[in-house]
Amino acid sequence: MSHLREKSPEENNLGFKWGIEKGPGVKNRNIMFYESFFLKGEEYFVYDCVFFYLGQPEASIGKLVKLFEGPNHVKKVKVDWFMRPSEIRNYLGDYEPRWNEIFLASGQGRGVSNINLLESIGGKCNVVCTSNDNRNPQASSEDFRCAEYFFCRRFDVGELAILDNFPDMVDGVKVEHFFNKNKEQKQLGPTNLKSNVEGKTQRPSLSFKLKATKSNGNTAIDDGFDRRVSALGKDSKVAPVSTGKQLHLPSENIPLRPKTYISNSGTQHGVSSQSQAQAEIDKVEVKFPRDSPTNAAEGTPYKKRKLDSPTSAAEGTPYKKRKLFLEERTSSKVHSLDGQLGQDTGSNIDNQLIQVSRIPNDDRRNWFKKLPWEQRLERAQEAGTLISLENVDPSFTSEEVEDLVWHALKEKVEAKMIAQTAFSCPCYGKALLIFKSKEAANSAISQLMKRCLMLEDGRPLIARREPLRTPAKAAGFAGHLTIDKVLQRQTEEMKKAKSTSHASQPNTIEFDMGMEWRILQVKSDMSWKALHERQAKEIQALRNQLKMRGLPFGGVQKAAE
Amino acid sequence: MGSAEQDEYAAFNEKVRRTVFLDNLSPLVTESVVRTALDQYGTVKSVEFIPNYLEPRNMPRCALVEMEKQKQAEVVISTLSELPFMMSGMPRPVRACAAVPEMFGDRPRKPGRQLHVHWLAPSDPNAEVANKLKKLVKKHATETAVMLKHQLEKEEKLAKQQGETLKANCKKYEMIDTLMADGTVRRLARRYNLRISDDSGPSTFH
Repeated sequence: MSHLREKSPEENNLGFKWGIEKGPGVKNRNIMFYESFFLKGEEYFVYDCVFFYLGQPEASIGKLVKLFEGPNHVKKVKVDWFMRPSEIRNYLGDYEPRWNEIFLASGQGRGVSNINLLESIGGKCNVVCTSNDNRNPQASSEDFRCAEYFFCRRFDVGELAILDNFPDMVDGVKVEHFFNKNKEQKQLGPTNLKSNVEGKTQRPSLSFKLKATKSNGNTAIDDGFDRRVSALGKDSKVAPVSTGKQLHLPSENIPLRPKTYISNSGTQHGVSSQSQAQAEIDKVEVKFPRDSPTNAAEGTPYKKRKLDSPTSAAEGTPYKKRKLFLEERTSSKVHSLDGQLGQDTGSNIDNQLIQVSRIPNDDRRNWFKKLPWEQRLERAQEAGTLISLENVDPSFTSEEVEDLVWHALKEKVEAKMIAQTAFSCPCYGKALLIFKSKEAANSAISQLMKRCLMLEDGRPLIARREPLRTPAKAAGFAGHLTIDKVLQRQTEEMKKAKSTSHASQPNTIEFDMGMEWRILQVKSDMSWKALHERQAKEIQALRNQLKMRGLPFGGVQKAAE
Repeated sequence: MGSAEQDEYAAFNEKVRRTVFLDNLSPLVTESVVRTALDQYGTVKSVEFIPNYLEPRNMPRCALVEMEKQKQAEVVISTLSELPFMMSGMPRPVRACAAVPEMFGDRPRKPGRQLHVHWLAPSDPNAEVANKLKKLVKKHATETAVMLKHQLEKEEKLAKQQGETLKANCKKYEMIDTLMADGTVRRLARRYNLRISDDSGPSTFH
């Protein structure tokens, strides 16, 4: 392999280097095209699916279709995008996407593809195509298990519709590249054109997901599928996860090949894309001259993306791509969210027992480096996306709360249980939730106010906004006394004594005072205990009135059917 | 997978047993203060302050201190319960008790636990009770807040009272000091024919 990597400058701390070289552009010899590159310890190939973190809470998913470096060493990638359901919410119509379904952007118009800085790649993403199209090699169950997202439909940005037929070319790229990779052909050798290459990480199986969705009794559009939990504060750091999990790779359909694969796939890519490469190169060249001045400026990624040529059939950035749809969504149907949620949780779901299984893509929460929790909290408070969830079972973990909210409200949130202290009532737990949007938070509050979401043991959950305490200022603390200016001789010693932790001896005034505090502590402990006991009794008395038929609401479910 | 989870949970439980919960901590107490203070009872493995997001700001801080061994944690708890233990100030002692899993913000989930929730329709017979329960939750939250406020007030009061006592005592000492210094004591002693040297003790009166 090494001979193929003629250029391997260890360029920066991202551990970037180009892999297989494809050759210079036809029209513009200054542009060098590549087949693969290494970034943060991972090797990426053309037609790999990757996450982009572009300042949105949710990482964007796209397919790399071209990798190239301009005359002034700006490394760029051309990306064909996948749409998340939340991005095309207004055009879903009656279509009910699954939580991990995405749509291949296609057609004529903005938002299909564009050119991005290579550095904004966040990590590999494993996408599998489940289309019945006969050009699409069916994915194996192993592939499903590894898949993070799937698609079987495309979104036409021109017609603004979801379609399930696939044209021969998507934005100048053969549609075969978007389908699954054909294993048999691959084994036959480099004539293989189908090199849909996916990123990988271990995923829970699809069957598991199906179960989860079913048990929700979910009938509405899953627009709550915004993956906020994993998305919040994502950084463009590559997830180390992927490399670790490569060992589980089930089939050759999966891209992060072990080294032995590389030559194979390398050639394969080379051959497979040659024919179209020519065609593509032309296109790229067209816009490069326009692009280059910007390259020279070498500004921020954002700036640059804005200046990307419109001829790329893309609009500037996924940022914009998103904006396009987000704006339309907010302008035309601000209430869609609430409305859908309303339906979603309408009577059809009432009384059904929702089994809270683990959010399938939960393992992604550690993928990207996040802002510290405190900062995220503050931001959420400012943005109005922070609510506190009361009456949670105190033994729940933060993750369990996230799962619960996802299943009950179809919202991905970031949750944190408030840690119990010695004063906390053992009956009540509280969690802080950060929602993705203010609307979602409002909707959750009103949902929980209007109706009752019951936990197994008969706890109705309550949500409300609660102002955070600002920990910034030094808080006061009663009970530490200082002796000023008296007994100057001893001041030095006193100071020292104060800063030294110690157990008091019974012959000091400090001991006596300490005992007074002890008495107060014991007294307050007793009153807390009394309070908590009374509260527990009151709760129990009311809970006993709940008519629980059979085991945890099993009867209720039956009654609803 | 399941067993990995169980292992993780078992390890966590182990950690809980090694951990001491400290409260009544001054905000000036830092991790290093805690470490130095408790080092005499065993090796402090980690100190984690429990963040206070929603309680009043003048709430004393709490911390979880993980010791190397469970035994050491027990020693810390018993010592701190027997004697008032001062940390970063006097005379309000810190308090220690055994930690419980719920005190840990980031804890692993209990393996094998199944959660269930369900929505109650407004027409459901249980809905009424549920609404009452909701009200009760709010009532209890208010009670707790009031209680907390009350407690903080009491603490404040005690601190003030003690401050005054201390000041009064200081004043006395100061007075004695001045009297010693300006010779008044010696003159009085001569007058009443008393010995005031330090070695005297009760024998002064003879």
